[in-house]
Amino acid sequence: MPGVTVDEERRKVFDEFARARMPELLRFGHALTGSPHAAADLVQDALERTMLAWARVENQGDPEGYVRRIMVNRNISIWRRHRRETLVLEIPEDAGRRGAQRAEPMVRDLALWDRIRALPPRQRTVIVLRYYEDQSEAQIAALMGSSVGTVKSQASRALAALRRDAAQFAASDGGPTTDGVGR
Amino acid sequence: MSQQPPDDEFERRLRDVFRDRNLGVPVSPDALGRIHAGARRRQQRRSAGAVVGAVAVIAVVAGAIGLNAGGGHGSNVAAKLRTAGPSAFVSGTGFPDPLVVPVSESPGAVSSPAVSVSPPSSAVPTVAPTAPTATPYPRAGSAVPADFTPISVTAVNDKTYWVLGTQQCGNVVCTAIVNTTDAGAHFAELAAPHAATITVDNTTRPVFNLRFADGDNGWAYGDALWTTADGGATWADTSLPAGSVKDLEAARNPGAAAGTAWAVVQPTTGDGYELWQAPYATGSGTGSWEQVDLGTDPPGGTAPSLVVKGATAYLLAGDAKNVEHIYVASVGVATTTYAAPCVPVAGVFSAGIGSLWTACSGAATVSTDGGATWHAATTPSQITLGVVGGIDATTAVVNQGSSLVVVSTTGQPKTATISSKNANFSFLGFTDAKVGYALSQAPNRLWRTTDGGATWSVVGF
Repeated sequence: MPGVTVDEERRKVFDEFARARMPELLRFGHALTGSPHAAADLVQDALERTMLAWARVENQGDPEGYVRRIMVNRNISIWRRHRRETLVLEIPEDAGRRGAQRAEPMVRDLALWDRIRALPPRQRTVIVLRYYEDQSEAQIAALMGSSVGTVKSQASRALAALRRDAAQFAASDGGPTTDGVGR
Repeated sequence: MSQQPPDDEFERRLRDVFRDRNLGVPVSPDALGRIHAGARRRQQRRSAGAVVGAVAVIAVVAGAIGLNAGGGHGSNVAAKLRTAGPSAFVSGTGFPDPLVVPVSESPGAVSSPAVSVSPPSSAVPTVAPTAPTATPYPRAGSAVPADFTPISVTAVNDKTYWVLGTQQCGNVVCTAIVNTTDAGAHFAELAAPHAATITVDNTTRPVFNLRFADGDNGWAYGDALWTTADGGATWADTSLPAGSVKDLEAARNPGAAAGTAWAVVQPTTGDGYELWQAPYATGSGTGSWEQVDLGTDPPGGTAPSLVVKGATAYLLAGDAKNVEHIYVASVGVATTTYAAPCVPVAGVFSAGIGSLWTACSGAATVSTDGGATWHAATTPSQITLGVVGGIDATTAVVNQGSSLVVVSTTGQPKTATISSKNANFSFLGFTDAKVGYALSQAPNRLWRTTDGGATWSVVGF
């Protein structure tokens, strides 16, 4: 591997780590970005950076935490570059077909998932770290390089927006899909 | 572990979304190989950067010695260096010599990034020329390379527009700006701000977007704010307003050769957003920036979106309580606030002829009275809208999935014809009733329509 300062043995360890953790990292990336394609790009970017710093990362003892920190911060940076991006996964025809085939609760989940994806990136990141990663506010603050107060306010605003949107969705949609939404 | 209070029902539902939703992404069989290849490229870029950096240090030291040796003629020496012409390169790298940064107003020459525009007195604070860096930048007037990748587009009429993007400069990716005055038949490379388009580290102040108000006055913004008063021949880093510029729009005052630039700023400290304004004029550049009073409930929630029509700015933003407002600001007039029609999809906000458009959940929504009242256009049902580009009071183009759809308040939606599938659109905007532009990502492409959004073609550079 010309030009890469990772010796053969370390590379094997890195490869094992990457192979083992990639599925979960991709899942985490999907939650962060809202897109499976963006998740793949984000994970590749983070693992490339990790590979180059592998000797140091390995010595620190938490390589997965290192990768996730890169993913969180790179995702916010990338979003700032493409601030007008809206991730849309399905065309209407597909949405109609799926809605007809699946039970109503899944439709409600999709609505909430869409609203999570529409959150500003920092708020979405806080929500993902708190409700997907089950991290404390202090852990989230450390990961994002911000204060606990900022994390609290971001989480509060995101939750308020999600609750209100869920209530609006429920009110506008009517019927059985309103149960359990927006309470 | 979490020390949060117990979840309520909605929070449990949130966890269920993350748990039950099929978030799994298949691992590509060659993923590891691509990671290795990507790491190799990064390492090679770092090595090349280190070489160029070392050359820059040597050149700076040599330059300093030369200046000192010149005694009282130091400025003349510097002038000679700056006007040495674009042909000098660091041997072997293909990068422009960092100290040889020619200054010229004529096409075909490289422009210094640090040469200040000529602002009105007491307007833009003086920006001292900064030390040229080793980062290579495209030469103004040169042909646009095939790998030019568009990021942001801005147009002043149906034929003249500028595109901010990136291209390969030797072994590194550099920021570039191209311009056309014949609707895209020909593009010319302009000087670009010496700023990256991505965050490299904590000290990076990248620019992500570009706006031109006329043929002279333009702004490249992001974590930094660069201005030009000469059509992009030279750029100055104003560093004002302090903070990240989230949105910037400008428009001429009706019937005048001057206008107002408006900027949404996220201050370096704090969570909220501010609106700033500055006058600009042909020949004198951008004046001093002043913060606009947005009343007792200033933006503090979702990321704001800004549009400008004539001398009035319209800001769609949530306040600290996440209540969405339309803030209407004009120079010298107290800000008016209206209730927003909804929490817009990703803060999308667009100006059409005599109209403002936004994308509420499931419907493109228009106001024809400056944001006071809103009503929905007929949009395909059961869809999640993406970006929206307003055309006029009755018509807009919206993004749904990988498609574009022309929607109307008076007729049925019509799916546009686009020359490529699988586009992920991130921006839509029109300069008149016929000509519009769209940006898509992965891959990044610029699209253009000349028939009101019915058909779209990829712009080649």
